[in-house]
Amino acid sequence: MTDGTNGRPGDTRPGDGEPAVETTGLRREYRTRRGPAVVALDDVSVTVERGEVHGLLGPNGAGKSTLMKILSTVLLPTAGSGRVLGHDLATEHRRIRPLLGIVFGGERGLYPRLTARQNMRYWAALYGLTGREGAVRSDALLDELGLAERADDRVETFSVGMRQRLHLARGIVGDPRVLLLDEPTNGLDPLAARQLRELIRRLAGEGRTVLLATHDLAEAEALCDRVTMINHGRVVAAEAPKTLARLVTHQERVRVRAEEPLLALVRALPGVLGVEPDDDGTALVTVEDKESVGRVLAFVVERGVTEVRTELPGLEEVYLRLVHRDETRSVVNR
Amino acid sequence: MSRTAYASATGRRSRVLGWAARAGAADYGTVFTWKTWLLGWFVRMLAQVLFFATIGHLLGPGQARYLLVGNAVALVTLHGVFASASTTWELQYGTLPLLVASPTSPTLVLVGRSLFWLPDGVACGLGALLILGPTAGLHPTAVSLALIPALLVLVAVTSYCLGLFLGSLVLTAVDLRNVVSNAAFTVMLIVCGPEVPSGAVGPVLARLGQVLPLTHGLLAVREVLAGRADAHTAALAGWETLIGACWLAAALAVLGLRARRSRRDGAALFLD
Repeated sequence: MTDGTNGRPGDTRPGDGEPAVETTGLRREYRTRRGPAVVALDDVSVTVERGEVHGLLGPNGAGKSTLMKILSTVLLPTAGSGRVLGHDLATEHRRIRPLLGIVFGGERGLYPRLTARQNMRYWAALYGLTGREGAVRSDALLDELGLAERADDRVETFSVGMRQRLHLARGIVGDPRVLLLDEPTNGLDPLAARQLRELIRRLAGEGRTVLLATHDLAEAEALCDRVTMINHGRVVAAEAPKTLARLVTHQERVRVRAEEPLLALVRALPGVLGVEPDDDGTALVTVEDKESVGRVLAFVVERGVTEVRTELPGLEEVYLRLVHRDETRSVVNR
Repeated sequence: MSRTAYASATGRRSRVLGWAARAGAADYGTVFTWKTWLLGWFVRMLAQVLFFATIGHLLGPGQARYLLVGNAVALVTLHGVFASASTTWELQYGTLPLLVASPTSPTLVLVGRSLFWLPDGVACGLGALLILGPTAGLHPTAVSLALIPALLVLVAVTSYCLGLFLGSLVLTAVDLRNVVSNAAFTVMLIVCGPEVPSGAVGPVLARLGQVLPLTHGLLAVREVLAGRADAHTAALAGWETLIGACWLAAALAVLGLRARRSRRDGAALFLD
C-alpha cells in the first residue's frame, strides 16, 4: 500500500480510524426545466469500513449510479455530507481523487483507437505514475487480466468482455485505496466473470476497500462482506448478504428437478410448507426448518433425483419483500 | 498493495498532454492515411488556394499574390479552428466522467487531444505558399523561408486557442460542433484580411478582426514575404501571441466553469 511518503498527489494519509466511505443524510435532486425536481437520493447514510467489500444493490433507477457519482467526486450532493478516507466529498475532492479507482459499467470510457497498452499508460499518466512505473503496472495488469496477447491491438477490436476486463485494469492502474465498481461483470462469460471476482477478492485481500454496485445477489453473496440495498433513492437495508436474505424469510428452501407424482409425495412430508413447480422443470420446496431440509433431501435423492440444492431468496424477492415492508412502514408512520 | 512511484506535477502534465495528443492523432489516423491525406486533403487545400489566386489574376495586378498569401495562411487558421469540433470527440467516448474523477484536470486532456491539427494546418499553409507561390510571383528568400514557418506555427497555435474556446462552448452540443467551426472560419475570412484588407469591411468588423487570431499573424507574413521583416513585424507577431493567449485563457475559464457547474447541477457533461 502506498504510505503517503512516495508522492501520491494529494495523499496526506488521513486518520486510520475513519471508515473508507461514510455518508450522512445524503440527498441529491436533479432540477428539471419543467416540473418538480427529481429526487435521486434521499437521506442516504452508508458506512463502508476500510478493507471491506461492500455491495450496493437495487434495481435500475434506484440511485446506485448517483451515489457512485457522488462518491467518485464528479457530482455534489444537494444536502448531507460524505467522507472518503476521512476527506470531505464536497471540499476535498482533489485529495480524494488520487485515492479512488473507478470502473463505471458499460463499454464506454476507453479510447477505442488506442491499443489496450496505450490506454493503460494513458490512464497511468492521468493518475500521476511515472512513465516507467506506468509501463510496469500496465503490463502486469494486462497480463493478470488475460489481455497480454491483445495488448497491442486497438480497443475497438475488443469484445465486450475484453473491454470490461480492460476497464477494471484501467481502474486499478493508479493503485487506488478505494475501488468503485459499477456492474463490473456485465457482459462477461461465466469463466471471465469468475476470474474477475477472484481478482476483486484479491484486491480486497490487499487491504483495498471495494464498493460494488450490482444487480446480482449471487455475485454480492460471493464477494461482499456487507450489502446496502437502495430503493427509490433510500436505503432499505444494510446487512451481510445472508442476513439480508434471512431478513425476508426464516423458512428454508430446496430446489429440486422433479415432476408429479413425486412432488405430491414431497408435499405430504412433515415440515413441508409448499411446493411450487417452475416452468424450467424444477420446483421450489419451502420447509419450516433445517431438519425438514434434511428430510426432503433424503427423500428425493432416494427416489433418483440428482439435481437438488438449497437456496436463499433471489434478489428480486428480497427486494420486493423489503420494499413492501418499507412502504408498509411508511404508511403506518403517516 | 505495492509501493507506487508518482511523477512530479510537471512530468505528469507533460505526459498527459502527450498521451492526449496521441489519442487525438489516433482518431485522425482513422480519417486519413498518408496517401489519402496527400492526394485528397492536401490537394483539395491547394485547389482552394489556387481558386482564390485565379480570381486574383482576374482582378488585376498584385491581387493574385494578395489572395494566395491570405488564403494559404487562412488554411492554417482553418485547421486550428477545427479543434472546436474535435474537442467534442472526448464526449462521444464517455471518458469525460472518468477524466473528471481522475487526479489530473480534464482541461489538460482537452487542450492536448486536438493538437494533431497544428502540423496538418502548417503543412497545408506552407505547402500552398511554396508550391503555388511562384504562380503569383512569390519567390521566398532565405530569411522568409526561415521566418514564415515560425509565423505559420504561431498562427496555428493562436487559431487553435480560439478553436478550444469555441469547443468549450459546444462541448455538450455535439450537433453544433461543425456549424460553429465553419461559422467562425467564415467570419475570420471576412474580417481578418485574407480576402480583403481589414479596413475594407468597415470599422466595427475591422475592430472584431483585431481581437481574432490570424489578423496580425497574416500581416506579419505579408511583411516578411515583401522583404520588410523588421520591428513592426515582431510587434505584429507579439500581438498575435497576446490574442492567442487571451483566447486560451478564455477557453480554460469556460472549461473550468463548466466543470464546476456540472459537479453542482449534474449537467449532461459528466452524466452521459
